Amino acid sequence: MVRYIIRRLIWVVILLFAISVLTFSMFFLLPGDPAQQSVPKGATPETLAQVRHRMGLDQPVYRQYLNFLHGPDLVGNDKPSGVLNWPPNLGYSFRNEQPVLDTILDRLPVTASLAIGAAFFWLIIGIPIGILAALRPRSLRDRAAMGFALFGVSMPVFLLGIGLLYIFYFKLRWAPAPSYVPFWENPLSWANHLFLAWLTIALGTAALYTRMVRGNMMEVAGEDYVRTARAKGLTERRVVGKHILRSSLTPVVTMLGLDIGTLLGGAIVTERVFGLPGVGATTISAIAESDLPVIQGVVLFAAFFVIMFNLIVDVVYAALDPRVRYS
Amino acid sequence: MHRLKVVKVAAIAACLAMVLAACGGDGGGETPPAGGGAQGQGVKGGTLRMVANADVDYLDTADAYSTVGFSLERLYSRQLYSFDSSKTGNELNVPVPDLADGAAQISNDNTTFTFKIRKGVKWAPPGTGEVTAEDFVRGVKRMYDKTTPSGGQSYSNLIQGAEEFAAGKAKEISGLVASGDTLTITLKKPASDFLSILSMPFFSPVPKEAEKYKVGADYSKHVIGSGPYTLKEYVPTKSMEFIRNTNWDPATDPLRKAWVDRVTVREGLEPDAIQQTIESGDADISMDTIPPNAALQRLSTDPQLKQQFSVQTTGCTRYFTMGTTSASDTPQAKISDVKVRQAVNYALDKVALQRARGGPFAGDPASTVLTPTLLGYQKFDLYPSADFKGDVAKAKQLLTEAGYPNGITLNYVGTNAGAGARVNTAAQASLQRVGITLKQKLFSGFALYTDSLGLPAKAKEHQMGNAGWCPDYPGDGARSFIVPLLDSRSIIPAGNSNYGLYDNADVNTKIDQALAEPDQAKRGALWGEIDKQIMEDAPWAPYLYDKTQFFWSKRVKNWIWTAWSNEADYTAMWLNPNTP
Repeated sequence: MVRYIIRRLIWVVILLFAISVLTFSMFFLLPGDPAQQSVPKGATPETLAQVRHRMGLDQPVYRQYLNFLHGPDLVGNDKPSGVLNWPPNLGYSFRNEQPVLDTILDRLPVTASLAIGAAFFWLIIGIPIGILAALRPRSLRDRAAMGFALFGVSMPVFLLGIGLLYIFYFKLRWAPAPSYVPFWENPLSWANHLFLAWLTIALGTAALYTRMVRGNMMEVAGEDYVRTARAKGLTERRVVGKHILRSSLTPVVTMLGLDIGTLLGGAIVTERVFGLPGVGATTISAIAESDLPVIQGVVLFAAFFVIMFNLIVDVVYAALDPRVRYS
Repeated sequence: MHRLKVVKVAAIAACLAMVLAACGGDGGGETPPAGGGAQGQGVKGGTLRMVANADVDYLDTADAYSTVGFSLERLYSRQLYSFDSSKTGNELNVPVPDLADGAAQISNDNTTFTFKIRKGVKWAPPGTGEVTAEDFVRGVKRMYDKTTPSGGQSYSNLIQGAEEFAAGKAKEISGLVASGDTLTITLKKPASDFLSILSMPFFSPVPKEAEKYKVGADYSKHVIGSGPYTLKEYVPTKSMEFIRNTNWDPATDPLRKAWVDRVTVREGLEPDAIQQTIESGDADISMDTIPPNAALQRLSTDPQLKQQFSVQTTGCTRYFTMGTTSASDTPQAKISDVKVRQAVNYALDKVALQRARGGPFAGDPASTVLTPTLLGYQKFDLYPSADFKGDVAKAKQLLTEAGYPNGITLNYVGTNAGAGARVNTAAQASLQRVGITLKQKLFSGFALYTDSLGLPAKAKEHQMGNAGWCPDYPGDGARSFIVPLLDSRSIIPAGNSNYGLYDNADVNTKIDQALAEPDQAKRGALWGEIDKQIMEDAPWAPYLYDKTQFFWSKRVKNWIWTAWSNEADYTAMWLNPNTP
């Protein structure tokens, strides 16, 4: 297992490198010139050249990438740039010259709050509904559960978010104005302000988990060992809880890890709809302004979380399912 | 400001906009801003809570060059001359002394301006002392920072010695002399609009304490106010807070009442959420968005909401630019032929274009280069048609005379989303009626300018293009309009704004005359003449005088719009109730 983990960590580095190269390349393939967008109207070619130099865009693309890994300070902060430094320096925003890493870390608590709360709700919504549906296949409650799943999967996140905001905030005044209150300022207010955002993400994801749990349980219920357990006279509660559910939930753990990892990269749509200053909202602004350092930083950050959570769930999977062994 | 960078993020409810426009209503007319008398007495105190979609470009007065930047700068910066938002009509567009103690002394040849600096105007902490003439010199010199050059350089370059300073050939700007409390500015040539130019925040004084910060993004986080407020905190893309300048003396500031105690800005909301938040009373005003199109009809007709709603002609224009030289010609289409361009002017259905942009709320059909907020604007239409819907017969006749009896295909550029995309469709439909086909190449957002319109080398690609522009200041603002857009001496190889490469020596001569003419009436007449002459050459097909809509919360009183920033004057409004 230790060797397996070490091998996987090496792959993490390789994958992050590949993603950074890909992001860098894609940025330069897209239309738009961040230097030109930054200079005032009628700027002389000399002015444009100065701004391009400040952004490091006057260098060949490969040199810019190497500077991204480890390069000179271009904004006068007396600190070398580059992810290979310690602590890693992801560069400085073209737009406001803020250190990219600082910006991401500043926004991370918001995104983490969103991800963890949403995960909690999609688990407590999705899993029980999936279980209830699986226990009575093709019954009315099963059809209702599948109807819910279809709704959740089909409904676009932005529409759901806007709809919830319109109804519960604007019309009924049951929810507060879209904003973020830090947990340490007021935990209750923190939860109150995030509740609709949590629901927005949770309903769609819960739908997927409902279908997954239902499908897994129905499949496991047909296994020989379950039939044996029933034949041995175990109570239905024990059969479902100890034998069916446990096997059914291991894929859920895998999905949970990946979903949380993905969300930590920024729930872009939800953050924008609810005015949450998280990583996702930062990404949108950066893309609109062709702010390469921020785009690069956020993409790497998100990729890091997804890859690491992928690794964690693989390890947890082995612990949950004795049939799985990594050599 | 150029290319409508300053135009706010508009709600993109495309379908509803067209339905809304079709429903009509009287929302196209301007609504007067809330007046002070009608709202009762001013109330001191409270926090003006702003919400925003995006971030400001800069708070550093040297670099801010947007509607949002200019409107926020009203809170904390002052200039030698500024606007008085308590005035009405055309008087509002005439700058008055602010930090200047009395009217400027202007030499007979309109090249030397001498100002006495008002005493008793103190910097907010951590600034120290009073505003001095030297602070103005510092402010102008900062505009030439190498890493964050100011958009105001095209104006500061009017000052003698500025270009030498910029090139590093001089340590000081010879035309800027500070002596005690007197500032003398000498220009290279006469500029009749120089007082209006000085009203732009580029020319704000900057305290010596600012020298420890880099120009641009760095100082934006630490601006020191000379106005009624100062910056407490700015977290880029997230939030801002302005608090009272404890050293501000209202007796020294006749232009700002500064009723509220604090101004906060929260960024990152979508336009729909901003609208809901303001209507619910959880925020007071939007920093950078307009109400969603779907809400406009309701806001303009609801008895309560319409008191919190206003539509203003911004002074901005929407137009189609057209190539005027052989550089734009293709074997299939000689756009350099004036008859072709005049045919386009006749053919356009401006009502359809208006509808594409959002109906009467979005603007009024345009027929001139100058817009209604500019000195010299006259209402005329050299290419009239019934109800602005286009004169198909006349357009076809002109095309035939130009040698295109069966029509013509023009290379066209525009944006690929939002209102721009709808305009492309409406333009194609109206021009198709006379046989003009648009071969469209579309771009995302600003790339339209950086990758096509702004590049003279790509003239053949943009024989016709959809563009927009705003003046930098109202009243005497024709310099910021006609000079970059239609003076051939402004043409540059990249970032060009004279997209059609229009070159008329006579027009250039008249422009110089107008810029130097000291008499306002004569100046206005000259600009009007220039406007007509340009429209005869038809390098443009203007189609809309832009309008912007505004909405504020119920407790905001004395909301007054000003063309100087294309926004409300935040220092004029008060809150009732004023808690929070």
